[in-house]
Amino acid sequence: MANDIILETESLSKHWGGIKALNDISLQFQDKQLHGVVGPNGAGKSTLLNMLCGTLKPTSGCIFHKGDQIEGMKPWKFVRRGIGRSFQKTNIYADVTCLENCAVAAQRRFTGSFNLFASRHSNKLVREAAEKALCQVGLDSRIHTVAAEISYGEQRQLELAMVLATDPCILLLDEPMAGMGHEESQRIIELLNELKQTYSIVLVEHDMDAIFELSDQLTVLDNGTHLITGTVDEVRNEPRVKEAYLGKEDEEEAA
Amino acid sequence: MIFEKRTERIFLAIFFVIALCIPLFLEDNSFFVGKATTILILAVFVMSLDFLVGRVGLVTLGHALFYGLGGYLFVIVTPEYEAVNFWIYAMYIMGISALVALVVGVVVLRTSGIYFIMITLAISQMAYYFFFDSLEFGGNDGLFIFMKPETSIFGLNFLNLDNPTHFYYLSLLAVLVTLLAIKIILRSRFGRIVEASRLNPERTEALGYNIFAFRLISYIIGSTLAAYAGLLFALQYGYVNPQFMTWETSGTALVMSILGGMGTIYGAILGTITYEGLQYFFEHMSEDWMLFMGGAIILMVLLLRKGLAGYLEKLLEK
Amino acid sequence: MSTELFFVQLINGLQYGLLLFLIASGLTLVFGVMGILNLAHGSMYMVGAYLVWYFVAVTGSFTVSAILSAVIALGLGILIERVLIQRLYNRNHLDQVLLTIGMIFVFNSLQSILWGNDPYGVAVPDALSGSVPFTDNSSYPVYRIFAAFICIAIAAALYFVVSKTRLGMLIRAGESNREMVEALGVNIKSLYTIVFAIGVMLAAVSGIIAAPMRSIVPGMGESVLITCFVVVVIGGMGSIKGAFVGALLVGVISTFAAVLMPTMSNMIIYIFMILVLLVKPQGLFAK
Repeated sequence: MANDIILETESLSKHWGGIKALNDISLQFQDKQLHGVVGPNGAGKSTLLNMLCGTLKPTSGCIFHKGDQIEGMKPWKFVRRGIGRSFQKTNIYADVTCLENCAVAAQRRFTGSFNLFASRHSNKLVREAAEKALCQVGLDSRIHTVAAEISYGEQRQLELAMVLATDPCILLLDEPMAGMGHEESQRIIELLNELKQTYSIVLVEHDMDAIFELSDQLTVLDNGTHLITGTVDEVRNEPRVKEAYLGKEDEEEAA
Repeated sequence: MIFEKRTERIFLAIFFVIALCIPLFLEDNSFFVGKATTILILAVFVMSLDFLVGRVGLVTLGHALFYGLGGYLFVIVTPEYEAVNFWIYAMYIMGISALVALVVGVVVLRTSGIYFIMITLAISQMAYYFFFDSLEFGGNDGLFIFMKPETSIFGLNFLNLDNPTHFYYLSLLAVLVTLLAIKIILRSRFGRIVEASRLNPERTEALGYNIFAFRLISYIIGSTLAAYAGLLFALQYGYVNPQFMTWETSGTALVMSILGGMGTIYGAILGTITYEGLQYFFEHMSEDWMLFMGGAIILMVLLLRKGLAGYLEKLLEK
Repeated sequence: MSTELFFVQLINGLQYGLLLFLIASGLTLVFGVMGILNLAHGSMYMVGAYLVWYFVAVTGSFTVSAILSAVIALGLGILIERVLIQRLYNRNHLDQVLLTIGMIFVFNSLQSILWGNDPYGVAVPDALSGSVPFTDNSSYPVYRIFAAFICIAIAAALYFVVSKTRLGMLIRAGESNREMVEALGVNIKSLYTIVFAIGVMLAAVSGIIAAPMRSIVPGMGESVLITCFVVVVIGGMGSIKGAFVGALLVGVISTFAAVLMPTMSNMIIYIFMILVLLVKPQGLFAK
């Protein structure tokens, strides 16, 4: 059973001067599926993600969301459409509490943010949504802690909570498990398995075990080009993929 | 609670109590009442700047543009020898200033960081030269205000702006209203996003907020408050000239704000009082007061990293 | 406008632009490499002018005074960097603005104390006085031509240092990546001192060169600073090439504006800057 195509790129390219970060990428992301994106370092994964959420404008090519052409729009318009992203490098509001972090994310859903008079604390729905998002990722005990004071792994969780607090349809996750220990990663994998049921997810990760376990579809990028997209088994058996990773995997293991 | 910090509550309580009593103690000395009034008016100007720079994150070196605009607009829109109604014309002038801020804001908010600093400086310099070179607006000498406006509301008149004490209380009211307005806005839902934009603009945009709109509205609010301060200043002394709009005026306000503790808002009041106090003190000590002022500023930057408010908070907050 | 007048103004504009470049290049160099916005940069220009006036009054020789003033300015630059600027490296732009404003106060005050507030002038040195005729009716002052050539020479030297020497490589590297330069084993502290001193020298030397062409008055530092900002913003902060183009543009435009629309001449530069920023918000040659 094929799900609807919720996000699609057509001949997407990004050039920086002479450097081709991404070349002619055409991908289809299906609704309510977890679509993994992998590739060696420098393959263009983050660039792809940055374009899917509007932070980067493509040099050429198109991006379609539910059939509408959206490339070139301002990032906040992407978010309005329900496309949420988490950052690879933790990007939170360090000096305020976790609750406040998620409250900023959630506020847009429940109340006009151009209200100059009503106190920010007065809307119960915002607070509840923020707390819910924090509980979803397992940060219930840290709700009132200042974000700068929680551990690195917990900050990655907060990063995820903030995206969830915006109640998106599509989650673009850029290495959510970066720098996490085994136990923390397991928790995130469980969470993502759960979230797969409700959200469409595009997951960029280096953690191969996680990717193989979670992905319904898997795309491999190498040096800015699209190598293959298919099921996990299809990709694992593709000789070009092994070639792309061969030298690189040994390098990573040695590191 | 809009005043969350203990230091803030203590300072403001002491400040307002003393400020309310000053004219009572200085009844015979209208010079000092006048000086105090000027400090209050400057505090409004500096608070509006502190809001923009310290809380919204818009470092503008062109804030004096609106300060001067408030004064010039009064002379431009009011008939020369008639005592107009202060409240109506104040609102009118603030409305025009808000429109100017809208136009300027749309242009300057396309830039950020250092460029924003420079372009705001350039625009206020442009305005300075416009008035400096213009004959219709009095050139470098500026224009005089011959009649102070009257302050009746629905026929009830209890303030006479020619009376220094009455003008003092009007200025104190302005300080109070400005302080409350800024604090309420910062605590509001709007304020939450504005602060988020300052703390992490990338993140805030990634959460779906149109930062440009939030900054523009904040810019309009801050600039309109500055225009009101400029209006009061022009009315107090009875004139307006291009010096209101120089980058020195903007720079001095910035110094006062940083001195007091950038972003604290109540620090702006503290900084204004301290700066003016120091200047008065140094002026009477020596002709070369600027030397000591410059030295004091340098020392404060090096030693008081978070300004006077920061220092007080270190002492008083647990 | 007659062709003659046009060419005279064009040369005037270019010469003014070259002088502006000298000052602006110092500002943009310091910002590009060190990340410091030095609002007291204009004060250095003023110091150069006042010093050369003072020494000419004492020694009578422009050459000697020029060299003396340049050396003192160099020492001053090193001193300021070591004592004050060094403490700004990890602080934000606002603290830099505040501290350098404090420095402006101090310099203006010292100027007033040491030399007073009357306007002064420096006579054009005899060897360079007089004019060169270039049409039947008009001639052009020799000193201005000399000044233009000196500026070009210094600009060429700057270009040479930045693109061909090791110091220049460090400067260019430091502009884009401070950590990398440190990792190369370079003493970043010394590099910064040198760069700041060069910046100060550029400003002071332009003050020295400009002294016989302008009156030396209080506040001359600030007015040149503002023009400098415009140049640097138009050219792109941190770009010396941008400062060069920006300076020539500003020089020519403001010179022609003063002749063609005197009432609006002061404003024209700012209008031009705003137009540039609307099209290219980071300046023409932004990094």
